Amino acid sequence: MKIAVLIFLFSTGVFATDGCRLWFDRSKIEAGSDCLTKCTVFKTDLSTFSCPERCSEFCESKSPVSKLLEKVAYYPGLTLEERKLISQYPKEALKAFLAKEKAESATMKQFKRDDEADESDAFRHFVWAGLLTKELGPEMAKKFLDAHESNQGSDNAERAMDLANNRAGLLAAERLQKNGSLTEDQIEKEALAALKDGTLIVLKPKGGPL
Amino acid sequence: MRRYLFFQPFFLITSLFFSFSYVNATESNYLENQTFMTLSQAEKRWGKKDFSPEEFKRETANNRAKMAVNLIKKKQFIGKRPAEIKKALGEFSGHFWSDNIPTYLIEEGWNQKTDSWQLVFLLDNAGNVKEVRIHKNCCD
Repeated sequence: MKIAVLIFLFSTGVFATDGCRLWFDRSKIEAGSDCLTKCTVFKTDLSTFSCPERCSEFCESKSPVSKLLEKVAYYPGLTLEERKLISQYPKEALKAFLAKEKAESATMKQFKRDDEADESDAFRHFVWAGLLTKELGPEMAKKFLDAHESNQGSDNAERAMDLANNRAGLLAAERLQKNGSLTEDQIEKEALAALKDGTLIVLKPKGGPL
Repeated sequence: MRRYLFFQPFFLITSLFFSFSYVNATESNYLENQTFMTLSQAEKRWGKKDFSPEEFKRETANNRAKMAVNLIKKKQFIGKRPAEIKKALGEFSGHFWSDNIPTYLIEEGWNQKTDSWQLVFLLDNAGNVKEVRIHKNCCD
């Protein structure tokens, strides 16, 4: 009886989370062209007999791109649209979120803060849009920007501000591209100029950059 | 028999530990690159005051800091949605990943060129608050 209770508790503790994921990790199968083959034939038992059906998912998640994505993307904060883009375009998603990190670092460097609805927010959106255009082209950039803003729960005015500042960044990046001067530095300079001349929308001004 | 009885709780605890630690692996990879403050550090820095949602809503960032430790310890927002947090505590300030993650600045150091800190209501994969932590808004 005690053994049965232990087995039950162990099963609910381990397999209530993702038993197949654990089964795959224990297999120590590495990412590569033969991942699927090895995974499909890896030994299973009564509790893991259906796990080989998820081999394509596990093999993809073992890829270097997926591992890097886990470091640069806060998964619980992703919108449904972002999750779809990640599964469709994982390499582009990695570039998108690395560009997001750069935009956030640039914001903190200029403003010594990373806030909502103020000048730092406007700058961050503009720069991210510009960097995305540089890395992925305007169409893919817009996909990721719109996906990030697709959360229905966000405030309408703040969402409108973000979309407008994204658009300003996309347009600026396209202009810079035509001039052959689409660099990170130039994108940031354009963002600061746009803030100064009132092109960017700022709902709650706080001042800056410093 | 004695060895078997000794093994039972150890086996149970170990299996539960590994199962729960795996669940958090994906989420914590991103959080590993962030800077958080412990509750004891927060208490030394800002002191401790009873948390009141009404007071928190109307106060400035720096006065909210005193309530941070008590807010976290009370755990009354665990399981809530971001919209419920906004209703209880007011408009978000600060920034963590996206507009959907509730954050509230509790120390604004930017105009003195010192650190800024915020309360972040971290979510689970279902979009409910899982944990509240004190996060460094700027600058590392």
